[in-house]
Amino acid sequence: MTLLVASNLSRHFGGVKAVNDISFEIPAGTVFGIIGPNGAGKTSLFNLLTGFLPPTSGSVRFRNREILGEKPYHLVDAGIARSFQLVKPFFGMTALETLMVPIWSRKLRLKFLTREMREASARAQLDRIGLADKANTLVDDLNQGDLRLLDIARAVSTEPEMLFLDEPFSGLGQEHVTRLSSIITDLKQSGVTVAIIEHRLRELMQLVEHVMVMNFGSKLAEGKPADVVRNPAVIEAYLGSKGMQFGSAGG
Amino acid sequence: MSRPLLIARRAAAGLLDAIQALSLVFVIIVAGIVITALTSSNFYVLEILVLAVIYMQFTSSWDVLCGYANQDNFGIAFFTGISGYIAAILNKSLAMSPWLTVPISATAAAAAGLVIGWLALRLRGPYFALLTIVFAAVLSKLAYIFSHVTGGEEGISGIASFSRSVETDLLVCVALLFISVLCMTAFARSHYGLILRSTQHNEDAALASGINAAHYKVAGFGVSAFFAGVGGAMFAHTHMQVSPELMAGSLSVLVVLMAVAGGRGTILGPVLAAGALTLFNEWLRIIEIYRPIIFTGTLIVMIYIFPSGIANASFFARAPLLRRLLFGREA
Amino acid sequence: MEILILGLSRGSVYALVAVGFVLVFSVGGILNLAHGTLFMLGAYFTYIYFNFLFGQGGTLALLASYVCAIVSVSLVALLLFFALFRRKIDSISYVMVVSLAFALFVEQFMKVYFGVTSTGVPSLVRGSVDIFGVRVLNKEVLLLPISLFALVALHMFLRHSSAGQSIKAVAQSREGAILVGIKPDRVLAMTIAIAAALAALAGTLISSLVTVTPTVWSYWLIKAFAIAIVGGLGSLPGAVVAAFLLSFVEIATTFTLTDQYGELVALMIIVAILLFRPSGLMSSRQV
Repeated sequence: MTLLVASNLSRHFGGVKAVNDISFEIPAGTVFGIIGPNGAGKTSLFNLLTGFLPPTSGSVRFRNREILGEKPYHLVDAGIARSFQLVKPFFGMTALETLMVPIWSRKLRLKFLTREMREASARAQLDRIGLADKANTLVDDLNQGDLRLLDIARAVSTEPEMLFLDEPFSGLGQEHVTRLSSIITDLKQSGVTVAIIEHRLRELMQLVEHVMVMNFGSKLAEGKPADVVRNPAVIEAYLGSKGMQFGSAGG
Repeated sequence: MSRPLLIARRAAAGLLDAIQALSLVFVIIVAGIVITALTSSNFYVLEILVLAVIYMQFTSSWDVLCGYANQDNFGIAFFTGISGYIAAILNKSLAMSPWLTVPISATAAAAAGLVIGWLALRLRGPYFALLTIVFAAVLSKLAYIFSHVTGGEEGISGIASFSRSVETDLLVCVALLFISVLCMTAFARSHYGLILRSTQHNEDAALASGINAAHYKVAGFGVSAFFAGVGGAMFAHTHMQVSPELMAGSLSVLVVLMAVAGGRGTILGPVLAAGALTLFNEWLRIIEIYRPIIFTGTLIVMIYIFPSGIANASFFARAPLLRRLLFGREA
Repeated sequence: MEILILGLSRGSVYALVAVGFVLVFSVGGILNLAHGTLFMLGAYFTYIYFNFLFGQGGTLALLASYVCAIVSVSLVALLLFFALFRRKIDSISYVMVVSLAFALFVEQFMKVYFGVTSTGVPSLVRGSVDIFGVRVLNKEVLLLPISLFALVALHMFLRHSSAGQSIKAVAQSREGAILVGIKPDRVLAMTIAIAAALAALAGTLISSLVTVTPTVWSYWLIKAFAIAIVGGLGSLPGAVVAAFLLSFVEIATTFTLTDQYGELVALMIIVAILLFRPSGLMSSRQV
């Protein structure tokens, strides 16, 4: 089953075509990778899909419903969540409080009716990312890796069907990378569809079943990771300097 | 469970939580004022206490929005002024009793707050600050232009007081303050406070968590304006007159300074600071001519020593018991 | 015609005050709400020096008091920066609040020592002149050329001197400026001193023209603040254009309506710009 279908999606900034007539499909239950050089329009694409950027034209259907241009918080109700590339935590709040915020979304607020239920839910999410012991730590005092995991946990807390992760591995040490990889695998097993933008291709290639390559706002190639790696256009346009790393991951 | 029932239950739980979280020192202060009102007949002392209570109401109503959403409202006088004048006009021309004018004028202030809050949604930092300043300035200009209604420079006098005696007036004010502080504490400790705090630094992440941030900000504005409005009406019915000073920029600025000195985002910090500073200002009358210089100088020194306000000083972070006693329970 | 001449001369004073305010914001990312106070101090210091130091001497004494006043205000601004602002310069809210507290302090100080009534200074020039059939006071005519001269001097300074270059560098990118060895703190101090000098110049110029009372700072602060935002915070040319725009609107409405309505119209325009074009008139990009 196809969960999300984007057709002829475009977003222009003046003369710059950040996203240029892109069409793709994300099948339910898969991990979908989006790669491309800096400035290829990956984050703009995510912003379009998650309601943070109004589109120039095109269509996005999620579970056969048009969602393009809806507000981010309505998309959360529909089952779409995202993490951010630049993690800006809720300064002045604790890790636990951070994960209490999504519980007040329209989708979840009737599910957890008492304070105890809400706290238990937030603690369970903290536990999942291995930060249970830092529940009452101010986010101001957490390190970059913990903050990124916390942001992802915040997204996961909304109980999405479709999760967009924007460069989740960047800035993470090996320990956090391992933790995050297993979280993504768990999510997939519990039926969540995940789309990932990533630069750290080694981690990505192990996780994804399907890759789309973007360049200059357009789709360059799409397919299984092993096939994409061998696509000459991809190698020429994007891999260049990173070819070695990419090849070793794919081969 | 039906929606109104759920909201009512949450409100009740919030109030109960606020009572449990209440600061002991605040309770003692309120009790002290009540006892003074019952025993003292020193007109001067009672008048000062009324003024202190009004300033506590002003600063806490500022804090319930600005302290949590971290937006600087430099125009709280808009709400105190509009409410004070409405109370005055209702009382004078329709002979309405204070028991009606207080809720009506506070609700009118809240409605104005919702509108301004909605207009100010997109604005942050300096832009937000300027918008609030300008709105308050527009209101006071309107008060001069429609001086046949508002009395212009003179204002409106001859407003009925709450009761016949200053003692009872003080009791009414302190009761209103107590209820207001309880409600605002409940609001701030509820998910409204939580979400307002989350929008301070990263509204996008709140939106991506399924939160309609605009709803919370506008609601915060309404609540802040409502309780500022209660304060404005309190002023009208205790001073028995309103003048453009109730909507002047200097009042707004004073409220901001006292609230920030007390410690934003704590409700009780601004309340205690406003009370203490008002009394200090009165005490300074013994050296009358230098009084304003010393008073404003003290404000500078306080803000310099505690840039985040006294209640947020690191000293209290290390003394949780003291903090609990003074400012109430932490989340 | 009268509107044109008055608008130009008032606008030039607004520009002097607003440009400094914007300059400090773009270099330091702070809003100095004591800027109106610095303006007011310019007028007061002129009065003090002229009356008490130079014993109400002739034109030369007046000129000397002008210069001394401007220097003094710059020193006050430096003191303000080093003593109060630097404590938490990264917090825009702290700087706004502490500078407001300072403004109130100065207001009270002036009330005690100079009273709430106005304080006046004799003018550099007397008499009046006919311009296109309109009789204008000479001191009013003087405002435009002096202000323009100061603004052009500021422009040249930013453009051609190395100190000016470092100010521009910090305004563009603080990190970049640090990389090439510029100390942003020192640059900000210099910027604040320059901004204070401009505000003080405006204050001295206007001291003979309008009455100066201890509360006048807030009026000028709101003007500077509004001009800065209408012009687009961070844009000096924007501030100059907005200054003249605001002064024309004010003068024009004052002539056609009453004083109160004039100010109301100016305020409503500010509200409209904040709501519909918060990035300012000069900026082509919507935020």
